[in-house]
Amino acid sequence: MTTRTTPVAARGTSPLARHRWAVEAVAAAVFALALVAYGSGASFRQDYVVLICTYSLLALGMYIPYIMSGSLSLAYNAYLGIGAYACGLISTRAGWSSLWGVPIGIVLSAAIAVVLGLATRRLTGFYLAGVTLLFAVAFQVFLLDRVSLTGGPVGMPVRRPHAFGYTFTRYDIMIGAVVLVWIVGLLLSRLRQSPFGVVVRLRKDVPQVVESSGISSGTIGVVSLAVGAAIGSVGGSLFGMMGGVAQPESFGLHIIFLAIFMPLLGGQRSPWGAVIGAVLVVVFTFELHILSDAGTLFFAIAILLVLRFAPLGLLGLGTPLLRLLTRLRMGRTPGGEGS
Amino acid sequence: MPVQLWVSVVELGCFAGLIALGFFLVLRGADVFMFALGPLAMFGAMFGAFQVSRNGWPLPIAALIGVAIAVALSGLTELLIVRPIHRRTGGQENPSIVAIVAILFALEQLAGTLFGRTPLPGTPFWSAQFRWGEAVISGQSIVLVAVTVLAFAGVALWLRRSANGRMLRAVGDNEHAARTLGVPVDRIRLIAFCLAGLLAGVAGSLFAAKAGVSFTSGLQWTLVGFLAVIVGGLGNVWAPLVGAVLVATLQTWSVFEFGHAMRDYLTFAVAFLFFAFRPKGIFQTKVRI
Amino acid sequence: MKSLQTFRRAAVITVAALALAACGSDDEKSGSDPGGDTIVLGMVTDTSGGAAGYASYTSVAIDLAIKEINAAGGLAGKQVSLITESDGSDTTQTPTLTRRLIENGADVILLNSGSASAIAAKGVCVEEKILCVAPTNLSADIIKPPDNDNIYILGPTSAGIGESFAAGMKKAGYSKLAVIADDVPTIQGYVPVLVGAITGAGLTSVAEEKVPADAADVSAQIARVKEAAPDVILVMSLGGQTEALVQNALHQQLPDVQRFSLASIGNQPTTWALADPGALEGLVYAGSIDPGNPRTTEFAAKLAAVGGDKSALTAYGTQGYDSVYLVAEAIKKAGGVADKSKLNETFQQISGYQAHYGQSDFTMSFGPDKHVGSDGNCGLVLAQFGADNKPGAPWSVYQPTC
Repeated sequence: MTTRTTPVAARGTSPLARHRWAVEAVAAAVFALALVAYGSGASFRQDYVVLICTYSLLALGMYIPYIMSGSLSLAYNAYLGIGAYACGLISTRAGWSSLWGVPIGIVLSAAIAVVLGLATRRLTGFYLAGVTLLFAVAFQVFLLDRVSLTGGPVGMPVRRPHAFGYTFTRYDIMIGAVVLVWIVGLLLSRLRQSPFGVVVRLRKDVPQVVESSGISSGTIGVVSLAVGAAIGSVGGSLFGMMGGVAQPESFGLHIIFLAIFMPLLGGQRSPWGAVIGAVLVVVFTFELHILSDAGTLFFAIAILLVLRFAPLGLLGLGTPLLRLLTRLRMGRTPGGEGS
Repeated sequence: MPVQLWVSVVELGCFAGLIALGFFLVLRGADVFMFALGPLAMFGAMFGAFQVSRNGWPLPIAALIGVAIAVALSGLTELLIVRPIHRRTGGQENPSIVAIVAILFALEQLAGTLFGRTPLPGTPFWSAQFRWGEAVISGQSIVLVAVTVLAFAGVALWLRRSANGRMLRAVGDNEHAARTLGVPVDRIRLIAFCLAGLLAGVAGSLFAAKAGVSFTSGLQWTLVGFLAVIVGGLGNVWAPLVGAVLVATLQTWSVFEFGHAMRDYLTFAVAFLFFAFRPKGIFQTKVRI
Repeated sequence: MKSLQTFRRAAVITVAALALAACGSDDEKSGSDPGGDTIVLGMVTDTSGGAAGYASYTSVAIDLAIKEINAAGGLAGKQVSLITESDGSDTTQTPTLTRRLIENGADVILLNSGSASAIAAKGVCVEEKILCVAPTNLSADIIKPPDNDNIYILGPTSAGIGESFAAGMKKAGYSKLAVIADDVPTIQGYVPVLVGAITGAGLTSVAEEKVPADAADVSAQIARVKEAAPDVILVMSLGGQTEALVQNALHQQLPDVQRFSLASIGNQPTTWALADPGALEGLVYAGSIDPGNPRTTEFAAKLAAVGGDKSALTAYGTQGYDSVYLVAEAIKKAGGVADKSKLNETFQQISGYQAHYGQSDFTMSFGPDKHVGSDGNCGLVLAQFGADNKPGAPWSVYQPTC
C-alpha cells in the first residue's frame, strides 16, 4: 500500500515515469481509437460503445469520492437518472437541444451531492452510505410517481441533440462519448497527481494531516462528491441521448452496484482502472450467456474475491508485470525503486 | 389511525427492532454497519419457506436450519471477508462497507438462484386469529412480539451480566485499547456477528409468514433496520426498538394519510434530518474516557 | 531518444489495436445471414428479471409453433430458426440486444419481455425497418405514434380490459371503485388506462392506492380503501407476493366487496398458494382462456404433448404461438423476408386471423393504422376464482363481446 505514496520525484528516474503523462495520453487514445474502430462496424456496436462510455463515466464518477477521498456515496443511479431526464425534459418540454440538459444535469446532481455530503459530514462512512441509499430508493419512487414531470413508468423521449442546425447521429454521439471518456480519464489521472489530488488522497489515509495544514477535510470530501456526481450525470445524459428515451427502469439500484464494482475490479490506482472495469462489465453482460441467469451473483462473488485477494484490482495485478518489463527494457534497474 | 394499523405498526416495529438489534450488536462490538443483515434474514427465511413449501419439511426443522444458516453465514462473513480486509487496511471502513454491500448483493442473487425468483409463502408458527374490536390479530404477531421482547431482554441481560457482553462494549468503544488490555477482540467480534445473524434469522423466519419472502426482500429489510438505528441511536440496548417503533409508526401513518410515495420521501427526510441535527439518534452513547 | 522509443511503442500498440478491431468486424460479417437459406426469428426474452415468470411460457409455445411450421415444410421454401437474447427486463440492454439480433441475421423480432422493454426497443424497430411483434404486452404505449410504423401487439390492450371491466361492473350495478396497484412501471402504465375506461362508463373512483412491489405490509393502503367505502375493488399487480398480500388483506378487512384483478393472477399457481385459504374466492380476473374455444383445447393438447413444467395452458403460451403464425402468414404472402417493407405491408394485410385464445369468435386483423391485432374485446374471458383458490367458471354476470 505504501508503494504509491512514494514521492513523485523518487520515481522520476525511469524515462517511462518521466513521460508518464504523454504515454498515458497516447495509450488511452489508442484504446479510444480501437473502440471507435470497433463501433464503426455493425450498428449494435455503437450502443455497446456508448454503454461502455456511460458505465466508464459512472465508474469515473465513483472514482473521485470513493477511491480518492474515501467517501462512499451510493446515490449514483440518481445522478445518472438526473442527467438523462434533464436531457429529456429540456428537449421535449422546452424544445431546446438536448445538449442543454448536460449542464443542467451537472449542476443539479452536484447540488444534491453537496447537500447529502454536508448532512453527513460529521459521520462515518456507513452513514453516508445509508443515507445515499435511502435517497436512491426515494429517487426511484419519484421517477415513477411524478408522472407530470417524469412521464412516470413509460418515461420520456430524449430527442437527438442538435447544434447550429445539425442533428447528431448515433455515430456522432458514439465519437463524442469516447472522446469524453478519454478527456475525463486524463483529467482525473492528472488531478490525482496534482497537489489537490495529493491532499484529497491524504484525507482518506490521514485526515489529521490535512486538517492541520489548514484545509478543511470536510470541504474536500464534499467537493469530491460533487465532482463525482457531475461526471455520473454526464454519463446519464449520454445514455439518454443515445437510447432516445429516459425510463425509470434504467436507473434502478443495480446501477449502484455497478458503480462500486467497476473501479474496484479494474483497479484503484488509476482512473483507467475504472474504465477497464466498465469494459469488462459490458463485455461480460453481453457476451457471456452462461451468466444471464446468475450474472449479478457472478459479479458479487468476483468483487469479494477481488477485495479479498487482489485489492488493487486487475491493473494492480498488471503493475508488477509492467515493472518487470520496464526493468528488462531499460537494462539497468535503479536501486530501491518503488519499494 | 384505525386500530388495525396499530397492529401493523407493532408487527413492523418488532421485526425492524430485531434487525436493528443485530446492527446494534455488530456496531458496538466491531464498529461495522452490517448492511447484509436484511439479506441474511431473507436467506434464512427463504431456505425455510422453500423446504416447507417445496419439499414438505416440518416447519420447526426447516426454520431451525434456516436460522442456523443465517448464523453460519454471518460468522463466515466476519471470518472470511470482513476480518481479513479490516486487518489489511488497518481498520479503514470503506473497504469493509464495500465488502458488506457485495455480500448483500451476493446473498440476494444466491437466494434467487437456489430458491427461485418467485416469492415463497411463509408458514405461521401459530395460525390462530383473534378479533379485538375492529382489528384482527394473528397468533403469529403474538409470537413475534413475545420473541422480540425476549430477545431484547436477553441481549440487555447478556451485555450487563456476562463477561463476553461487557467485553463487547469495550471492543466497540476502542478496539486498540481493548486489545492492549488483553480482551480477545477476535472472539468478541465473531460473537457479535453470530448473534446478529441469529437475530436476523429469527426475525426473517417469523416475518416471512406475514407477507411471504422473495430474494429481493433483503434490501428493504436492511433499510428499515438501518432507519431504526438512526432514529433510536446506540445509547441503550432498547434504543433500536424505540427507533423501530417510531419508524414503523411514521411509515404506516404517512401511507395512511398521504398515500404510498410519501412514505419513501418522508423516510428519507427523517433520516436526513436526524443526520443533520441529531446524528447520534435519540439515545446517545455516553462518552466514556 | 527515450521519448522516441516511447512513441514507437505507442505506435506498435496502435497498429495492434486497430488490427484487433478490424478482426472483430470481419467476424461479424460472416456471422450475419443476409438472404441465407433459413428465415431467422429473433426473440428478446427475459430469463432472470421481472418478466421471467411469464416469458418462459411464451418461449415454449413459440418453439412449438416453429417446429410445427418446419415440419410442414417451412416458409417460402425455407426452414425457420430462432435466435434469442435475454435482457432481464433491464431496459438499458434492450435496444443493444435487439440490434444484435438483427446483426446476427434476424428477419423478424419477437419482443417477449416486459412492456417497458418493448417500448425501449421501439426506436430500433423503426430505424432498422424490421417487423417487430410483442405477443404478450398489453400496453398501448408500445404502438403509439411516433415511431410505430412496424411494431405490433396482439391485444386486447389494457384499454380493452378497462372497457370489459367497466361494462361488467356497470351491469352488476356497482358505482364506487377503489384501485390498488403495485408500483412496478408496467402496472403503473396500465392504471390510468383502466381507471379512465371505468370512470368513463359512469363509475366514480373513490380511492387509488399504490403498493410497493415486495411490500411487507399493506394495511395502511387497505385502511384508506376501507374508509372510502367502495362497492368494487380493482387490484393491479404483476402477481406474486404483492397480489397475495393485498388479496389476503382485502379478504380479511372487506370480505363483502367484489374484487377484480388483471390477467397475471389467473396464470400463476404460485400466487394461489401464497393466498390464505379461500381468500381468492369470487375474485374476477381478465383471463384469455375459454374452455369453449376449440382452437384453445387443440393447442392445449399439443402443448401438453411437449411436456415439461412450462407446458401448462396459459394466455402467454397461446399469444406466443399466435404471434409466430401471424408472422408466418405475412412471410408467406410476401414470398420471403428479403423485402422488409413488403413484409410489413403484408403483415398489415392480415385480416380475420382466428386466434388460439379468447372466445371462439375472437379474430385479429392489422392495418396501417391498426397496430393492435384484436378485433374486439371477446379476446378476453372474465373468469372467477373458486373457494379452492383456483380459477373456476366464467363470470356469469358479464362476458365481453365482439
